[in-house]
Amino acid sequence: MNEELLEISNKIINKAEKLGAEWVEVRIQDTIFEQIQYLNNRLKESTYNRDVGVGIRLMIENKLGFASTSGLSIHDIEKTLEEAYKTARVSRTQINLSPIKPYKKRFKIDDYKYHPKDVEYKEKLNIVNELNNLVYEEFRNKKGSRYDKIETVNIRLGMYYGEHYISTSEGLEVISEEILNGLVASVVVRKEDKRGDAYTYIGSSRGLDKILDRDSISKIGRDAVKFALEKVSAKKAPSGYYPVITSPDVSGVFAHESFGHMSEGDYGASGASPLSNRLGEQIGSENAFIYDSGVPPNNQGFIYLVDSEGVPTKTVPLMEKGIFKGFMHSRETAADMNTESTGNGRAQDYSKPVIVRMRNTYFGGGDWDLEEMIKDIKEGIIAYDERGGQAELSGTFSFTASRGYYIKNGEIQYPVRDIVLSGNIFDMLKNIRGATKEIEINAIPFGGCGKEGQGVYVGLGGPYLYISTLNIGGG
Amino acid sequence: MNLKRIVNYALENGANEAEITKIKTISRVAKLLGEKLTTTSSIQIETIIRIIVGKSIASIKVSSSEEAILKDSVDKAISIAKNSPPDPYWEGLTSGGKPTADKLEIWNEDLANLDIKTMVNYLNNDLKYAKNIADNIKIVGISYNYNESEIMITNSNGVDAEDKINGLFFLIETKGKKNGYEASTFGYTRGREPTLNTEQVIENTISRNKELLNAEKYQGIYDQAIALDPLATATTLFFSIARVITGTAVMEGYSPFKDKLGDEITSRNLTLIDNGILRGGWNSRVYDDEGYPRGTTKIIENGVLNAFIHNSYTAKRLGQSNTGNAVRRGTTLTVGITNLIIKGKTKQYNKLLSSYDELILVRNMPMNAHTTNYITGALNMVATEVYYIKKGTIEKVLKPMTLSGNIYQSLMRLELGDDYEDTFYNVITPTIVLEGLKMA
Repeated sequence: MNEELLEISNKIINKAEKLGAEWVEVRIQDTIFEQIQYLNNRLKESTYNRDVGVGIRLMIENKLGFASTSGLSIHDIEKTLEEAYKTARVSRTQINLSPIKPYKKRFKIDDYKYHPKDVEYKEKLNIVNELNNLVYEEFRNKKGSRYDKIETVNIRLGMYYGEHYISTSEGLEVISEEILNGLVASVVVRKEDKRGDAYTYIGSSRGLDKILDRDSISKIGRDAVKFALEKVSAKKAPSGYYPVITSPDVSGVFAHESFGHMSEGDYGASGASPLSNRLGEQIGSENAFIYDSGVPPNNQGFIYLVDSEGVPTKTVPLMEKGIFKGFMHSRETAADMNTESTGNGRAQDYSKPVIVRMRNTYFGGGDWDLEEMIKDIKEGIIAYDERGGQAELSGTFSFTASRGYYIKNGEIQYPVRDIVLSGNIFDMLKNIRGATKEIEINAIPFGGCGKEGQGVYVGLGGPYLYISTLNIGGG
Repeated sequence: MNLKRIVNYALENGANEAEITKIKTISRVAKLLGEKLTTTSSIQIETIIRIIVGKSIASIKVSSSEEAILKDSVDKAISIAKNSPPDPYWEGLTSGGKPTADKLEIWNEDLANLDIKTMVNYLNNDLKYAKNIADNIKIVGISYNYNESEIMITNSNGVDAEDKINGLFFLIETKGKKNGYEASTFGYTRGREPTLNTEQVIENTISRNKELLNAEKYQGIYDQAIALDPLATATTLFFSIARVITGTAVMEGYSPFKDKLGDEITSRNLTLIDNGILRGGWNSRVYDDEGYPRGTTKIIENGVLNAFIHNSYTAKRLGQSNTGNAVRRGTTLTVGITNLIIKGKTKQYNKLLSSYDELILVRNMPMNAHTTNYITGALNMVATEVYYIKKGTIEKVLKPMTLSGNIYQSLMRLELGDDYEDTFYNVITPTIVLEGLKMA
């Protein structure tokens, strides 16, 4: 990704300017996604996807047009440029983009030893095979009786890496490296008619280092078996309003799904968000802190150095001490709200337009210890393993935690399963009693966040949160 | 690009079998978010190469159809396959078959010529129409999305399949506020003509949004009969039973119905058919994603599990017939539904609702079932359009409620209405009434 692409970009920009465009942006992508999957003790799949293409956004009389192609030939690009021109011509919406100071920079993630492209295929295959064998061995050691069966063992190693090239007629030239790797163990066990499932993973943007670490592999294998077996005998969670401790991943779902989406600048600018016009308002308890960052603390999660518009990512405080601090912005929504882009303008790939997206969204840490939280609860639960859920822009949510523990008189009593947490985020935020000091943020290259038909990688996490009361259902 | 040439190149360079799939996708989108218009246009080409060396398999996807790039990719796939352990169950690529249908009416040339300018004109007209009847309802967004796909599949076992499909999708999203309470909803329609009848959808969406603003909180837990409208039914079934009636789910061990062929697994009043060649069907095609002819499969007949849906691999592994349900998700070849049709003894819609003393009706529910545990059937989702019905009459609109229970157990007792809709999950269904679920 370099001279050749620079030449393509310059040609597009020149031609677009000749057509009458007053501003042009060219995004070229060259990324790889590799996957190796073992399913039930055999290699199911080895795949390698390479995505190359160009997206052209241009402005004519302050109207934006966008077109894309997977072809990099002169013919394809000229046709795409014509399409972008046509789409701008038919638009009647005047758009402004917040200004950006042109600069040239190659953003590189360098905090790692092993880039996935430098690791031999056989070595990658070994990792998956090793984890697969470990899960079966652990199950043989831990199963309660000969009636216990392991039904599904699904091991996946995913490696996403590559570069995005962004240049504009303002003179901006940015090359942005992206890496996200993940190793996932998914296990289903059965005892008579009862099934227990578990899902454990390691994810990192810092090369394959964490995934090549045998201790990490061993931990997710052992945990997957342990949690799946535990779920077989887990009881129903109690129903009703109880104090709840959420594990980092469950805390992350609240931060992302419930509060994060309504803090996106497009919803803020259009008035669709219930946070519109509430800047500076006390919304949560004094213990509530929420951030969105391209580079989270300790380089955890998905490292995203610069956005799809070439804006370096910032850590955006969304909430501090319960006060709403501001929206996340692309260049377009920043101009709408008379502010600067926060580096949240993202496109799924070259073929999609830029919209406002989160990067890593998490609650900030507090001053509690997990043990202190548990001791403080007379009757409640601790919820682990988020399995997603739904959140309306109004703040109504229903999230599922796959497993957890029932707490009575300050002590963990027994495992519970399929815990549904529901309510409204504005009530939940008021009921945050505290957070642990340490925060944990995770990201893997399977799934991600979906919005307007675009899926992007994001990191989720935070501390253990202590919520004084929350509606629990399910089981 | 002649795909056969790439297949031959693979065979000459060490592959024992090869399959090449080329997909060309064109999309045009015109979208209004508030008053802001976005227009986009995209052309994408993807070529997926599946190589088999011995019984070892590798797949590569590239966003190109250039011969040099495809040959490089074939070399890489051969290298990966040579370094991979064999799949002991591999029995070869499909050799295809004679198509079971033609003239599916899934391509309209006039629609293919629909340009972005016309789509923007449609949007402007729709916005004007919506604003005229909106009163206190805000039009959050309106969009038109045109998509076409051309799929070509060639393999070394004689498959040479081609399909072409297009369609136009319209979506409107609205939101309202009354006495501090906010409610939103959406409506959609789709078709293969260059114009869609959107006025009725706009009227219906705005009218429902107005109703939702009068919502009241339901006190307590409701555990009587629950009616799911066609889209709510489609969402629920798509994220539960549709995922476990596949050969993949049976083979991989997570289908709760894996040992239940011939058993009664739902109410006798339910027949479930997958029809991949439904004339005009949104998800109809002549061939599946391996180039095998699609067909029609009776999955459940009068409550009894009759068959699973398969691709060539799962069919061979389980010793059953290939149903032509191979579906490609990226490079991964799996099994999926095409057009899923719910059949059974139906009751006239109003009669169905009035046959219950009290009933809660859930409407819409687009993505809200995606967290359903399809292994166990455990269901927990937020329903945002909820109506309390007494003896067939809507008595009040309710604020969002959580719907929970076990969908598989509830399917043992159900009744069907006659208000069939082809929903955007490609599940063709009427309203169904279930028992055994709870709402709170």
